[in-house]
Amino acid sequence: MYLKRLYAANKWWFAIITLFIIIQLAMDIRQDIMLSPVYHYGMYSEVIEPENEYTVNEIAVNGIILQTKDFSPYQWDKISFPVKLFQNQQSWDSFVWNTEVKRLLKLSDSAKYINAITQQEFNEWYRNYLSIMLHTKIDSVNIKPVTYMFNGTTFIKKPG
Amino acid sequence: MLLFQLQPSFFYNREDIFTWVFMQTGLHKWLLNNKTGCILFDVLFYTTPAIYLLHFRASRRTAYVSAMWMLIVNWAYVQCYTLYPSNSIEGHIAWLLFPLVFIARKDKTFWLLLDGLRYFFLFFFASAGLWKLRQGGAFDHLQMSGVLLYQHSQLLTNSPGYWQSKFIMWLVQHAWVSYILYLLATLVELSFITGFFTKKFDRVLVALFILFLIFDNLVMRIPYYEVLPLLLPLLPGTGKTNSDATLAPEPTI
Repeated sequence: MYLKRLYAANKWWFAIITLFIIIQLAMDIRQDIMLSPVYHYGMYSEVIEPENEYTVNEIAVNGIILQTKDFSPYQWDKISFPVKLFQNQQSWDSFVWNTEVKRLLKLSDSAKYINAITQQEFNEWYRNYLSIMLHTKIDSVNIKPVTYMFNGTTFIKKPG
Repeated sequence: MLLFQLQPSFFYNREDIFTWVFMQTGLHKWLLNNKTGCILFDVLFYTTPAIYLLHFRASRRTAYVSAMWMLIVNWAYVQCYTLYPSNSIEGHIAWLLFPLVFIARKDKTFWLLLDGLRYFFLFFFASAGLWKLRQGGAFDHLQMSGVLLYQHSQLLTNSPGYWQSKFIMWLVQHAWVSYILYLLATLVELSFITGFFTKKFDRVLVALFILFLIFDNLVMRIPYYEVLPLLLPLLPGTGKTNSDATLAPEPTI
């Protein structure tokens, strides 16, 4: 047995690995907060059914909407993630700080847990960032959340 | 993976106690809009393995110090990198765990830790299958259609005429076909449980995992290649040495 061999070879490593196993199992049973390097590897395990509406970010550069097909998955993630995460970071970071970090770590200063970036600063940063990524001079970037209705076969843009 | 390319300007917290303690260092904030800092950290991250190698060649006895340094650098780097808009920390688990095996001071412990990584990898992938059973994804025939729509909503709406969009939409509309794909992936994940009982099928598991990564890229557009190093303990040569671990001679230091 592996742990028995490890115990015979090195008791410190045996203790570390055993602790890792115990924490991993405990975290999997509790299913809440993680403790690096112990994670849940769900990989789309929760039930996700088709929805009637999907809201996506349309990113237009110099008036032209960027198309996912023109980029590799790596590149597209780099383009779309910052927008998506920026839209949610203020509420998410505040939520994590108020409900968990402050309570568990007994802290009172949130500066290291909540961003100070403004919408204007983000817009400026994102324009420069895209300019480097797309190797082009950018005059304008427009980000617009657009809702589509899905009827089972096609997506139809929702007016407004 | 380069911080310099991300040019981070904000971070996104996660529910991880270790991360919250790490954030007390302020390193993730120091790197924001700090081009020089990002380049320095990139250089440090990518040269550390070479430093370990040089140290190991010069002195096997003390090389564990560089290995511990590599572990610290990797942890700090991955913690920061995944706090910025990049991808999940789970996908970088190989960077976090692999330096551990180099800390071992004896050959026998090294092989045993490598064997431990093998078990971890088996758990990593098999648990994904078990989660699909536990959380119900594997029992809903609309699951894969829902996943595809969720994952590809941007591709399907801004590039509807693209061959991959058409392929994905075909899968969405043929819910049972996509559900079978999902079930096959679940079965592949669950098949890694066999690795806990025998090393006989390690080659098959390696092939299945690579196949999974290719499909993950093609169907899901998820590049999950950062976990590839975790396959090393399952490779034929390594497996043989692993099984002989207890017979391996101690290094002559």
